Amino acid sequence: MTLRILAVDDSRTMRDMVKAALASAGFEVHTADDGVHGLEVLNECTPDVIITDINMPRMDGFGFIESVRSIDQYKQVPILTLTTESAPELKQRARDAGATGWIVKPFDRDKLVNVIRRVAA
Amino acid sequence: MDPMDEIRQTFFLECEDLLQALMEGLAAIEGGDEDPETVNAIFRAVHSIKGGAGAFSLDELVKFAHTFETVLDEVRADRMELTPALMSVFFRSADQLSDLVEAASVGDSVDAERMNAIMLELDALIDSDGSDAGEVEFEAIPLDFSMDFGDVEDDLPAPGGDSWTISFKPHATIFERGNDPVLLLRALAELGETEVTCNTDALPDLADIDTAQSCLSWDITLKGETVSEDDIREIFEFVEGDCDLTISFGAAADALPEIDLPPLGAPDEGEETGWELATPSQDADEPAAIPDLPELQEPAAAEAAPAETEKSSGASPARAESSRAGPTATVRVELDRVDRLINLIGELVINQSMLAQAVSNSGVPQDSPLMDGLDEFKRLTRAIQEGVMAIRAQPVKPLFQRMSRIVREAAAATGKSVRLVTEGEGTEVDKTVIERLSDPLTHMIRNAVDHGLEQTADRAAAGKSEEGTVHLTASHRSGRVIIEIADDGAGINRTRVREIAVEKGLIDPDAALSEAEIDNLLFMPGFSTAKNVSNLSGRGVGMDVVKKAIQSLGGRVTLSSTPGKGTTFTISLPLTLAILDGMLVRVADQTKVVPLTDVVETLKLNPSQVHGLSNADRGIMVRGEFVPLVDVACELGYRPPLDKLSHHVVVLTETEGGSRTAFIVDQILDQRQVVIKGLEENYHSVPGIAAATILGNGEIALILDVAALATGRNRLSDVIRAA
Amino acid sequence: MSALDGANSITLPDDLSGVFCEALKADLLARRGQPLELDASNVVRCGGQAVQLLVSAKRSWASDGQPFAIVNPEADFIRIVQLTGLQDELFPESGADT
Repeated sequence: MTLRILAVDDSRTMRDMVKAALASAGFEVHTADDGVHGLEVLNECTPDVIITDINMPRMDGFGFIESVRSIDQYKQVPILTLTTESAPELKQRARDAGATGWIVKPFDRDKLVNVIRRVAA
Repeated sequence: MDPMDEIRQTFFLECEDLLQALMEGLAAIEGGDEDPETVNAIFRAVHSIKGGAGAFSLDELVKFAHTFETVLDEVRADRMELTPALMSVFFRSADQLSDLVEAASVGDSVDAERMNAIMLELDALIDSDGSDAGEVEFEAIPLDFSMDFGDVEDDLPAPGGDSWTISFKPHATIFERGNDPVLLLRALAELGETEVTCNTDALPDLADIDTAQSCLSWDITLKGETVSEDDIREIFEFVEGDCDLTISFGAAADALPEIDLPPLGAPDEGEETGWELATPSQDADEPAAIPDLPELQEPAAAEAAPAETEKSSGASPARAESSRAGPTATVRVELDRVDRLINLIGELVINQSMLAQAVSNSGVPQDSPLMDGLDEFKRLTRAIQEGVMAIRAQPVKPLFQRMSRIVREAAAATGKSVRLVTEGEGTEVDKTVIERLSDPLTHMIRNAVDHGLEQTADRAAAGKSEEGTVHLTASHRSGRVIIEIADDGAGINRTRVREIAVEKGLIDPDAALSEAEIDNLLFMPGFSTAKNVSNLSGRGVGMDVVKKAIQSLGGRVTLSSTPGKGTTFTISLPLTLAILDGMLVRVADQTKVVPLTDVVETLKLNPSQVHGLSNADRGIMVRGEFVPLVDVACELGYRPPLDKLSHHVVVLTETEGGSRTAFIVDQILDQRQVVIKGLEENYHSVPGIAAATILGNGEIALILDVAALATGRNRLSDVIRAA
Repeated sequence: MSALDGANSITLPDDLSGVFCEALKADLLARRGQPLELDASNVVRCGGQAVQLLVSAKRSWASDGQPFAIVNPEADFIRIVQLTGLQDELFPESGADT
């Protein structure tokens, strides 16, 4: 079964990189530009795993994670934060919002793929 | 193309946008914008550049962006106040960032001295602030990372025959965060053979069970001679804090001391360091936890607590939806594709005019349906053409933003206080025009600051505000783009300009010149008003070079100046470089095109008006003004000079600055739009010829370079001497 | 094929992720006190919450003295249950308990 991934990042570069990395691993990758856009496309792509940046315009990663978690269907969908931030309090905030895991950019393709496989049911 | 190369290109394209957003944001703040989202946007721009740069191991860029971002974060969190001094540092940092991006894009490096200077300034800001000093080091240290958790024996595989014993009791929070014990057990089983015992003691009756709770716990024995504790830790990384976990190795769990991380027990403590999966790439600096640098953990941990309490205040990016609209939807297309399309449309235009000509030759009556259809076809072709041209058009905004940097640097170099006011930034111009306008505009802006504006003391003495102003304006006017550079300085010192021109032998000492003619001396080759060539606008580049650059874009530059009030340079540019409104003329049995923008009027040659004897100094009186005559056919070498002029036609042209030349042609054929086909890329540059085009009948026609043909005949000094 | 003649039967959905557990619990409770057979032939996905719910159900039925069985599990579901160490509990070889 092909895993569907939704990657939310305001950086086109990062979206392209995530998309390239994950598509080559056989995942079906959808992307969104920020939290608001992410919520808009959520139901179109019904992702198995969500990857989100933290710093984004309109709705940041924390807001996005909380919003996703407030939807019954996505209460337990794995959400990985992918960000250059590494400050502990930000990680804690992401955890509190309901994030499944935290991956630091720049990411290693194989590691990212492994993590997704590990958190995906 | 290699996908990574492609993404790399995307990155640099995106950097342009981000740098633009950064500059816009800084300018907005300087202009009094106090919306916190503006600071956030600035922060994000720098942050995104850092993120992308990290992916391509652009270490210098990452390092600088990080330092810049750290200071911005202080402002974002209201821990640092935005003073004018700080804004100045930010502007210079943005410039530095822009330089770094540009250097990185071509694999170059930047001026180390300047970079270090600005880094020091930023570092000083961070140090004086104190609170984040730890974090900076935290990320700036190049990292040799190997999934190391700081434990003593973690890299040891289990000795032969022994197994890992894992005790795992998930809490309810494991489910809330989208983790699942089943998946963790699956991952363990992938490491090696597992023996799993489930403890169901805490499981209530179905009537009492809370499905959100976690009621099971597990003891796992993992065989695997090559499995290290790291491998196991990695699996549980995301759930540390959401479970009780002990990992030990040996035949029995209690036979050997446990190797355990301290904070695994209590779910409500902040186990920040564990909840992370660092995914290092081999060579990149890794801004991840560095457990073997314990001194750094302390400030980081100390910081966690206060940040927690103020998390709803300013410490975070605004979660609320900004009133600001998102970016307009765009499609990125390779320029090549657009240019191919433009070429095709060009063919279409030619084809359309060939068709029109064929139909017209066939004697079809004007009011026939065929002619109506043809007119409609022509209209549609034009509309498509304009539409495609609009794809290449871009707002001048990025260009203008670069100019604000030029002004800052020029102001700093001259010790003047200068404000740049831009207007009409949304005005769209062909991409190539914008690119090629950068150098001349830079020079003109420098000139405006360096020569146009007075020293502060002089301004004060003249009763002006100490801060000089340079207005940079773009607008559309009658099918052309007008760019104005206006300073509120002292105006052109015409006496001085005249003296210099005489000194340099550009004009006769007793030549009678109008004010406009004196002003136009500035554009003459070899003229430079600077008493000592300053390192700013000097550089051996004069306004004549600026003029040439603008002419090569089909543009014109003029100036006007009022003593005491300032000087305004006006650049007039065509909207596109691909289409030209031209006048078709016949010259020695060849069809040539004269750009219509250069044409003032056409005259029937009256030999009695011709003055001068030889071909070289012949001129014609037009309404009392002497205008040099150029025989186009002769200049282009089609025939020897004519001794006697008779039934010829004169096309009176005017180039920038109002200097006029009369071109002798044999016949005027038509006025029409032609598609420009560059000679340089297809053949090579030919003096006197700007480009070529293909006419409706398939004939190739050369487009005349009026300015070049006039050169040699049309020097201002010639005009003056002749007068 | 039914292992328990005349028992109530529930066909389990393909996805037994955590979010569906409340509904499953309600379905199960509604059949409390009667023999129950769960058809697991569709199950391909099953989370930890569903596993504990099924074990709890099985024990509750046992304490009520009612027959309970999970039948026709496919490979994916069997694998998941094996991973949790509960295969003996949920799939006793006899196919039916008590």
